[in-house]
Amino acid sequence: MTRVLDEVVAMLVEVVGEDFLLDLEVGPDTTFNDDLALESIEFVALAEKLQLRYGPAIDFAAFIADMDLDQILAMSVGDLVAHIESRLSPAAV
Amino acid sequence: MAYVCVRGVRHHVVDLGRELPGAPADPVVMLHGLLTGSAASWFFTVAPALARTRRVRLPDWRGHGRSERTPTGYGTAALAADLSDLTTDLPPFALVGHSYGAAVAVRFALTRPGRVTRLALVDPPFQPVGAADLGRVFTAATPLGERAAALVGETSLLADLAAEPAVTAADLAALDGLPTLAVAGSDSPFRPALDLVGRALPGARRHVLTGGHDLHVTARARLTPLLTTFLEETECPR
Repeated sequence: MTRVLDEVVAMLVEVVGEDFLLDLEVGPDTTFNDDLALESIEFVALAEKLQLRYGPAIDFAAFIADMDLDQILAMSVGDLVAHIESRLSPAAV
Repeated sequence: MAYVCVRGVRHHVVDLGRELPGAPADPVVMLHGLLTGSAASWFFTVAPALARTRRVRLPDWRGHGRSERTPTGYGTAALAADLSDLTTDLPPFALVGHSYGAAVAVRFALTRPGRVTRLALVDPPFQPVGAADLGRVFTAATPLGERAAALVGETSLLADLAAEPAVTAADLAALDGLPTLAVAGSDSPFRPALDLVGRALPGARRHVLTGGHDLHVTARARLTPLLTTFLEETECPR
């Protein structure tokens, strides 16, 4: 999962700025809400970047449509990466 | 579309969903409330479900979310003008507004009648509200954060709000014929707005959901099917 993870982390840096993440080692277990304190609108911006990078197949809106808010709040970087990888065709990874 | 400049202001706009083949559906534009609101208000609550069958557009108002903060221009007339320019590429659309977004939605529907096909008002603030009531809406449990604090401290937002003419029964009555849904929270200070809607628009559907002002968050599971059902009704406007 290294490549998608690296790309997601790079997009996170673009959204919140490098300074913000300087002291944090972001890994699969890092949660967006508790660990990163990502503002909800920053999460939206990340989702837009994911959509641009990986295309409509990853359909972030559909991914969260069936989650309750607690599940969304508890989401980790690894959860997101796993979703992206499950939607990408083998050729695209 | 992610960022677009309209009326000299850089706006952030989120587009979700797509129309299903063979199932034409009006797009829906969803408007957030002031200060703590943003496109995220809908993005993480009701919008994903609606986006299964239609295009959904979520603008960030100026000064909110990732849109540019301007010193002035937060009245409903100014925001309705922003909205007009943010939706020029859409066919007529359904409009959903929470809180002040509902007040802008009414202003928009009144001034651009051909553009709105259906109107959904979620806890609309249609009567003068005292400071104590505002305290119930923006409690200590929902800290405003830097962005909202800057809006309060560095822009005309509060003055624009104070100068804003209240939405009247006559305003609402002028929307007769436009399918309208109004939803209020049982514990919201804005709940009486539902009575105003009922008097002005007897044909409007009205619902009270258990909860306070932020029904999209606290009553998401009940609000979502209400909006979905409303948007999928097919009766002709009177």
